[in-house]
Amino acid sequence: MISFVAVILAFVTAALLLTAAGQNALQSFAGMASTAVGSNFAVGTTLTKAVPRLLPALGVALALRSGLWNIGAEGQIYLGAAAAAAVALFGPPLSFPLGTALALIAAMIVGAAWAAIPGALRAYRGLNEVITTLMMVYVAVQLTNYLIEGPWLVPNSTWPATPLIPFAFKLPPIWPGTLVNGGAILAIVGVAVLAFVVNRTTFGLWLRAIGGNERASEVIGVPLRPMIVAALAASGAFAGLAGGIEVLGVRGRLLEGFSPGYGFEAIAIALLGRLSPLGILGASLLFGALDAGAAGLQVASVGISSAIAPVIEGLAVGYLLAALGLAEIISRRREARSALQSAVRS
Amino acid sequence: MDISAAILLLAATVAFAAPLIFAALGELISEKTGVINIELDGMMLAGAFCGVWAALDSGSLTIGFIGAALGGVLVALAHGLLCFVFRAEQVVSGVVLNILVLGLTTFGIGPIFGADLGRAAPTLQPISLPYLSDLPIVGRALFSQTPTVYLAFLLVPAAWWLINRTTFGLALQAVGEAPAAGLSMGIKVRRLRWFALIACGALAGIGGSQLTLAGLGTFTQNVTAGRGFIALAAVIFGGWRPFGTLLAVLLFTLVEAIQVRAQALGIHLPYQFLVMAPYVVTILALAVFVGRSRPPRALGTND
Amino acid sequence: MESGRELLKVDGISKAFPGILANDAITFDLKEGEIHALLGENGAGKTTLVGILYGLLHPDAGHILVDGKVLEPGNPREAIVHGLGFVQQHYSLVPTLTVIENLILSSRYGSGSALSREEIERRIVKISQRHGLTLDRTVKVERLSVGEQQHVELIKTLIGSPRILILDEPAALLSAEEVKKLWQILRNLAGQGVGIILIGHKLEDVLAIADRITVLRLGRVVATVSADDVNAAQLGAMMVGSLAAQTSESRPAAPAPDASTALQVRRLSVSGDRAPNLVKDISFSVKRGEVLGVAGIIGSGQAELLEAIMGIRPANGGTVLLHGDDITGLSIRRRRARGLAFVPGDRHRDGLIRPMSVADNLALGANGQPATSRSGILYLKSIETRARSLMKRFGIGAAGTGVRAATLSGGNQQKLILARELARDPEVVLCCYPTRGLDFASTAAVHEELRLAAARGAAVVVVSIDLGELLALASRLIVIQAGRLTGEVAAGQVTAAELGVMLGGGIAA
Repeated sequence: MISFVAVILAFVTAALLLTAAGQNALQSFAGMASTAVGSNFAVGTTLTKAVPRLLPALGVALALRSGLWNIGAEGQIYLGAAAAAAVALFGPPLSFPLGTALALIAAMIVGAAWAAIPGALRAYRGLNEVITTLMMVYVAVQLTNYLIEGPWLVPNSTWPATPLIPFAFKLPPIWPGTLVNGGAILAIVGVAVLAFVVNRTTFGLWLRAIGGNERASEVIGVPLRPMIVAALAASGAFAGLAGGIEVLGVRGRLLEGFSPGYGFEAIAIALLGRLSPLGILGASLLFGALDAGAAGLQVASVGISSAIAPVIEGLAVGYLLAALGLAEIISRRREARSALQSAVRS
Repeated sequence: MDISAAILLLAATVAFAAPLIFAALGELISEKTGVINIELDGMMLAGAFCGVWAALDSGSLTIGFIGAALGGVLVALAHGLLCFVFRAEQVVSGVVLNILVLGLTTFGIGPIFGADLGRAAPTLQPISLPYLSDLPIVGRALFSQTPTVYLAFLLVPAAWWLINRTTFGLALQAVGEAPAAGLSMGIKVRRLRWFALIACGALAGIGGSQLTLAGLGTFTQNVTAGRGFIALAAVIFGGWRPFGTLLAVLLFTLVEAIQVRAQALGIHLPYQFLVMAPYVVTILALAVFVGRSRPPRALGTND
Repeated sequence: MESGRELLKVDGISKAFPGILANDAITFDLKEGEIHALLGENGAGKTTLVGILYGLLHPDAGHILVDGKVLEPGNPREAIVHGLGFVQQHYSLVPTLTVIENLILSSRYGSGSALSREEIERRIVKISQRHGLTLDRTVKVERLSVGEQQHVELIKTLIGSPRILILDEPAALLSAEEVKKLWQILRNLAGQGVGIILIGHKLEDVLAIADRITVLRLGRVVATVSADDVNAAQLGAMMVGSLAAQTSESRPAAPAPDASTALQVRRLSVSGDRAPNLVKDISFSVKRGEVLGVAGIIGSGQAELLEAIMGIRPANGGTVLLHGDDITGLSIRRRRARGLAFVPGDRHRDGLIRPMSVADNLALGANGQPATSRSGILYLKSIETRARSLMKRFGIGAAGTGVRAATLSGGNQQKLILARELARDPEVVLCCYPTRGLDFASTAAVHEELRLAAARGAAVVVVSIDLGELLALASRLIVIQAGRLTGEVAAGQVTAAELGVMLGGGIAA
């Protein structure tokens, strides 16, 4: 598949960059591999780091099936995390699974609501959702920061954060010896949910219809405007869930700046995975592996920044876009040539 | 709030504004032709990085600024390649390039600047304009800035003149509003878009270098900290007009300056609400003034 | 005033696109001071020919000669340099710029000669005075009416002092007064020796202004005649061809004598995209089992009328009643739920989801609701079975139910749309140009389906420019001209020729 080629090209370019920086590329990659897949713990770390990328990417893909861009996943992640933390810290004293579920549902609802706002602005006022979802990210981040540094702050911490959530709320670890928590299962379920929703529900049919031809769908009777809001809301729910899992399963608290850009990477992942649930799964595992490999990289090649990981990610998608564009150019030339031939013959 | 605090606030606003003005004007020109650059922050970052790199290597500030412009242009070329040649969605290309540039510049700190730890590039010093800087209150605030700040403010009327008073500017507008009409008039739409995009890259790059070469002379990871997005918001909030954009930038940087000095000013609003203000205000402006302040009709399309 | 000298000759121009031969050896000539009209329905090849004349398209064969010399194809600037001037139908003015700014741009970039602003202003004044045009130069183009925008277009072209003027559908969107004004300007220009080519499809306009008329049909030249030698009916017949005789035998569906009124439209007024009062005060009704034909020249508002009945376009005034219930305020979905079906005129833009499979398109059903699902979950197998049976019933030729709708031929796409709409036995079927661009077999199939729908008790409304089609299908016809209902006849009591005359405004037979 084209994505594989793009990824390989990205690694090759990265190798060149590393060499230019005076490092042994193979050594660096080996170092990364060791903490990404070299042991059970490594694999577990990769999985854990794949989850907060996978879920928002599924959401981005869902919205994109109807032609809508959810650039605001990052903000929905933060607010989802805040909602989950709020339930865990201030909600009824419940425990896993009921309490956890409640907190995660809150995360999904808040994420959905945050995305529904730009959705409504697009559906009913025609505002381009790219700009609005993007702006909403920074509002969300600041809102969350306010909550963390203000009313929810745990005093005497080295980094702004809330108190630890009650242990009872936590997502339990599911793979002994690793960091993998129950969220991974939810993420896999999410993959199945996306596939199911898009292909086997009325909602999905309408989604694809709108993505295929917005105007015709409306003429055919698809409820266009409510669907636009619903599509973005559903997208936001996925992202919100990811935020909730980070709080309840990984960090155990709401930490300022806990997301190194999961929401934006999700866009790249959705594209690299060609909008297919399995493709997205693969791409998020790759990105998770790159993140997990960062630690190993710094051991293997001292002085090299782990920022090589986003470089590889960016290059991979960049090459993919180039390859897709090239493919389209070639197919158009071919189409034009054969059309001329057949027309002349007739 | 007393006079000296006000002067400091004004001075800070003007100084903070410079990098944004460069980037926002560049983005304005680009969006006028229908090209949106989500990677504006990346352009600024590349400019900040290359600016320090060039200045350190050559020892000259001028070379530094040229390097900064080139850094931004490189990002612009990549965006143009992906969007115009490979027909990728402008938004996608923008998001991806942001990730890539942040990664590359962070990665590059070690290899490029590692050996020079402790050494800083030459930096711009403020120049006080004669007579003007002796004016009461505004004199010290407005007219004792680094030269690039003056340049930034001068660029605004220049941009206005270019867009509204030259035939070339009319052609730029045509490309962004009605590219089909422009084509039928014989305007080389593609060529103008490339021009605007490259201009945007150069300006954003110089804007980014304001943060380093007019600051400490060193590059730190993610030195732009999302300023590119504020510049994007400013173009929108300013209604895609040069003076409107200037006002938007000044408003946003005033808020930022207030936020930095909140305690000294006796303001008790949590600072995060000030930081988010530009974004909230932009969304509100878009929602309320739909129709009155409209983006160029062909914004985001590649054909 | 013709001087007889040949100014321009189009010689054997041919151009093919995927699957269609748009221009087939087209030949005609233009004399000095002549107004020569190119007449043809949509799909006759006019747009392609215009593109070639403008230099935007490369012909596959043939030449264009100006003053006996071959014009370099595919080069708009060359054409302008040789004295050709183009007044386009759309997309040639920048709406947010002022008149003078548009003219400056067009002068600077169009012909490459950088006229100074003063010179441009001088020429504008001269041209405006010569033709009696008044124009506020500082107003933004988007604020101008369609007629005024066309004046700007005209001035834009005339600044270059062309010797040959080519106008594409100039009268299409103009009011009667604006059209008269335009003809006056053109006669002025012809009087000065400018050769004018008018491209269009409105019979009465063409007869009013042209010296000679070349009729195009399906990419070929049917004939070139002098305007004095021909009337509207003859022209109409040449444009439409003997399709009237070719289509399925005339078996107009007649309603049962006691049939109830299914659809009633009362004083409906609708705005078009560019014209605020496109459809004015139209009232008619359709009985169950009846097929009502709506005749009229494209642009008179028929498509907008149907869109308003369906709820796609808001109405400015009036009511729509279904079986006596007022549905004027209902959404598209609700109207579909009540039994309205719609076959749009632009099947690619409004009719199908081209990237989706045949099965999925059919599954969207006529209500947007998949016909085989429960509580939101699709039953893929039933969708598949239903799709297959519908494909068989309606004769949709496709490799399978899973292929993308975009890969189907035009005829099969139209059958797909019909299948989707008719499968659930609608009460009212609204069709806009249902056989546009279809071959003979597909046309016959579509007609048969519409007849069957009427036989099952649906009230069918068909808008068409093909008079023969309307006479073959409908039991009753209404005529719409310039947005008003101007006539109503029973199908058996009129011939195509007479209908053509009615449409042409009664120009002498």
